[in-house]
Amino acid sequence: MSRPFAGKVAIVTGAASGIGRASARLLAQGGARVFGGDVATGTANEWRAELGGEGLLRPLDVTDNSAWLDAVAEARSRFGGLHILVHCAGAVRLAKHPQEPDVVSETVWRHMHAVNLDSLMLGVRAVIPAMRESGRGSIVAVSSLAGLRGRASSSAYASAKAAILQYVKTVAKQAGEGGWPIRCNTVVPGPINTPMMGSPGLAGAPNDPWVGEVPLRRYGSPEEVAAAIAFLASDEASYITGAGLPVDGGVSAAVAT
Amino acid sequence: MMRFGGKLAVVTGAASGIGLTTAELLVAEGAFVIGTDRHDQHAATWGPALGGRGLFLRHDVRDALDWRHVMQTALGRYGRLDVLVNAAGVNGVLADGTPPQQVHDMDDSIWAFVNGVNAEGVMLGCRFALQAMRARGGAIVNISSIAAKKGWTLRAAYGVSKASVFQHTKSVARQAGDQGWRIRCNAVLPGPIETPMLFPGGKLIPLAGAAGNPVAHVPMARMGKAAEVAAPILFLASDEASYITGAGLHIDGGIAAT
Repeated sequence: MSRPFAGKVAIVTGAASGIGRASARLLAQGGARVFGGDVATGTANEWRAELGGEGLLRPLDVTDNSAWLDAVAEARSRFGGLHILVHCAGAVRLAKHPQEPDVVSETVWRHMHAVNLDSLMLGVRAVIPAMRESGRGSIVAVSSLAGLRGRASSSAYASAKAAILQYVKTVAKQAGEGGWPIRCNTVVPGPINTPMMGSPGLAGAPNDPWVGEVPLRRYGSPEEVAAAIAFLASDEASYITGAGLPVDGGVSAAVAT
Repeated sequence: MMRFGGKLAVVTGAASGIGLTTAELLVAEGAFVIGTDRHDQHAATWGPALGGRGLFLRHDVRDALDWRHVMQTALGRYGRLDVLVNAAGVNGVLADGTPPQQVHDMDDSIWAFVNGVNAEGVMLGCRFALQAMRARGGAIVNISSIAAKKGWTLRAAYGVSKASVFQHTKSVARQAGDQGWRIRCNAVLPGPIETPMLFPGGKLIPLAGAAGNPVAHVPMARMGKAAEVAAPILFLASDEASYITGAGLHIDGGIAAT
């Protein structure tokens, strides 16, 4: 097995489950030393074993600027640099708060933007100095098909995910114009079988209403998104920046976006 | 990592540039590659240069009979087709910058030539590959361009042909999915890449940047290299991209973000 991430240090947020966990595992398999952050770190021992015993899983509230600064400092001091940020932390709903535009509350609106979008702004700001000093950086954010399409039931989430696509372009542009050796891209997942999507047992069942519009006729797996994230994080993507890579079984090719 | 061990790939436009580099990387990862091109002056040395893991066929991608021969070679001689990379492409620019491709002075023959090779060539390749891959699945990667995404005064024929490539990629992806064929189809959209196509007669053709700095419009402030397009092509052609179809991947140093 090749080790495209040998000598690289990565921060992965939302690392305890779903796409974040699969990404942390894949980066570690490729040789990276991974600092994982999540609000839920109850499975830290199991997580570490999954990564081959090398990584760190730490509590990280991605909406807290000082928590970001601490995470970057710890990743650097423990692993000696910082080259990759994979920002998977996010939330799609807040219990008992509908998001339909006629009833959406400020509470859920602000929560969705804080967790999904502000967290990216804080993370990018926190890692740029460390990546510049490390001589190379690649940031991969996770947007969503929901950010390309109107969707009443998750309007706040959709707005935040659309903003991620936009912000990634700006970061890529500034990094390029600044001559910084930093690339910034996003994956745009369609329906993926993760805890965030609800019961993994139900998602992708034959009667699931989402599957009908997916040309590949199935949900994706966290590992399939992680593979795209790892590709964008790697030097194989050295001329790719500001891009959004759909990982959606073809949905974005099948609808007008 | 041998992502393509035991796989048979067809790469068009394989005599030079992105096509040649893609063929080299595919062979390095275990594939046998049938490389095709209109330009066949290196036909005898092409396969041996790939360590005998390649076969060169003369092929005009506008010609359905040529396609039939390529597919018959793949299926008849090697029994399979796993990957098609439609890398053949032309921008129609001669060394002296002619003939014109601006909308007000479009040369009819250059319009037909550029669209014939880039758009119709990809249509034919996808048609033949869908038929050849239907039984066991496969992956198609087409080369679109950043020129597909914006108005393009210098080379309007090129822009429209590459927009066709991306659009057709989506249609192929949908049909393959709807039919349950296990065939994925994706496109890459390169920005300016250092290949012979951009240097007819050894001289760089005009790019979107200012005359003094041809890459002024590129946030990364440089042209890309053929390997920087070929590596993403391999990713999209590999099983690592198993949930990616109908996608267009920008490889443009950030141009599309601006």
